[in-house]
Amino acid sequence: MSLIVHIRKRLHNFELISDFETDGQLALLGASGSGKSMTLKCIAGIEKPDSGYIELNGRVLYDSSKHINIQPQKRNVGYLFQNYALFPNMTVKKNILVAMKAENKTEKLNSLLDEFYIRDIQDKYPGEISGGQQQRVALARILASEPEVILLDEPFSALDNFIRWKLEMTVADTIKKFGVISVMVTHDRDEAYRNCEAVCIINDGKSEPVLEIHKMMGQPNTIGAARISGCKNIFEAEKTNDKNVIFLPKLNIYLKSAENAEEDIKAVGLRSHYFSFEVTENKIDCVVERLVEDVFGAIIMLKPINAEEGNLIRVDTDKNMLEKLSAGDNISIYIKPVDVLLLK
Amino acid sequence: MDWFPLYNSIRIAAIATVITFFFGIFLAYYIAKLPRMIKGVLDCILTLPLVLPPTVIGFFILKSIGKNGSVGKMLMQLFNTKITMTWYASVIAVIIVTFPLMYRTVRSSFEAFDKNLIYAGKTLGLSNTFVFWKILIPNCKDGILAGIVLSFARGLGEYGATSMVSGYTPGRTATISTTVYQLWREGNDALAYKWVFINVVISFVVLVSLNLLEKKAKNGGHK
Repeated sequence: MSLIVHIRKRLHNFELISDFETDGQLALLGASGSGKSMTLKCIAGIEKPDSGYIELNGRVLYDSSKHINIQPQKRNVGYLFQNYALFPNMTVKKNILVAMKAENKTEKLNSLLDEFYIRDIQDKYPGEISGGQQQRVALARILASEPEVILLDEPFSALDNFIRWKLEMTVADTIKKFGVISVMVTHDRDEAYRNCEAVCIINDGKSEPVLEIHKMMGQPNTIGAARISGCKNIFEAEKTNDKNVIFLPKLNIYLKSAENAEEDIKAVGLRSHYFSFEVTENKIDCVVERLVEDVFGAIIMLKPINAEEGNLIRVDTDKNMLEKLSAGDNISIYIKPVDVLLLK
Repeated sequence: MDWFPLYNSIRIAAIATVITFFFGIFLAYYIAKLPRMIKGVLDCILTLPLVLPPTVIGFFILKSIGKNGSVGKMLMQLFNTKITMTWYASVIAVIIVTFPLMYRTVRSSFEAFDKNLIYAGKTLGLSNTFVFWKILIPNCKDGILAGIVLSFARGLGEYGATSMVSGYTPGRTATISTTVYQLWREGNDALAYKWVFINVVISFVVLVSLNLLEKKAKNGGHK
């Protein structure tokens, strides 16, 4: 079981380059407008890439070099749309029945109606049921068509927080239970973390190598991954003659790192929680620019003394620091070499 | 009173509306998929009859189906028949005049249609024909009905092109509008009033049904 995607498509202001393979639950993470949904549409056959190759379980769905472009009807791909796309002119039951191909439709319909707790509403129209019910019907309808992969296009973004969690669990259970490959498009890293095993980050229309999700969160090695993993401080970096020392031109400081810097280093990531005010290594002398009280802590914006204008370090710390500091104070902060993330 | 003009008007408008319906929905569907440039040009050409004076349309029709026109000549040679000055010619005129109304109403309801429903249908394995007739058309029902009503009403009242291509022959090509004109020329006000009254009633019914359709569309359609 596997889905292999290598596609390129010119969009109005950038070129989308999507390359990944998966045999389980993959998340496509990226900012909105980065080409994530377009990637799903190309897999489903709704949009045509400019060039590339798509293969599902050994079947070629698209191959520009051989002029193969299987029509969406024959791809066996389930697509969960953000607005569920139930047919408004058909009842819940009819919506599920039209998607079925094989025999013993009644039997299958009955098991799906029970599976998704929609037996009571089977004779209602989509306009008459709640958002949560609509999503369950949409999932049932997708499974009725027996797809080999389920594509989820920001499945929860149209919902408020309260109902969202419940639906997320329904989707997770469904995917687990039916054991299909799934690709979920999202811009929410927590959602990806909870539901997927691996993640592919799409940054400026270009996909990065697929990472195991824990690796992406703990030790990101690209700028896109660091940003998505929640790293607040990302600065341009240059390697120096000493492999363990890197230079940050915008801050005008040198930092020691635990790893050796490679030729292609572009930036460093410094997590805002990892700074300390007690003397360790990598001392940075700063001026306090601004103090902000947060829900459970405090955010301190610091300007390293030799930094270029507009380059601030964000430090997240305890609320008690708010009393000890005020704007304009001089302070030194420290970060361990192991916490200096080298990014490509 | 001779009811032929009413029968003839309804016959012409009904046949023309059925034909415009099919032309309208298919062209609206296929043109919507074309590249923007070609779409713009075709759009202009297909909407032209809406803004041209009906006499100009009548002139074009006569030039093509008349006895010296290319189509007219061919019909004469093949079937030894002519269609000018018959009620069929009125059907052709009415199709051309009402086409833009059908085309534009249907196209705007296709454009407002949620594309995800089409995509969903396709990924679920439903054929393009099924998606078109069972998903697109039923869900654009209100827009299409509005197009039908408008076309029928316009067809019923068509005068300029009809009178040029079919003339006025009582019992053969007379329609309500050509009859009213004829009666006014003859000074037969009493009968003219009757036909005017019938025309107003029909138009009124059409407008009321259009309003009802709009109201229904606003209330969300399916129940």
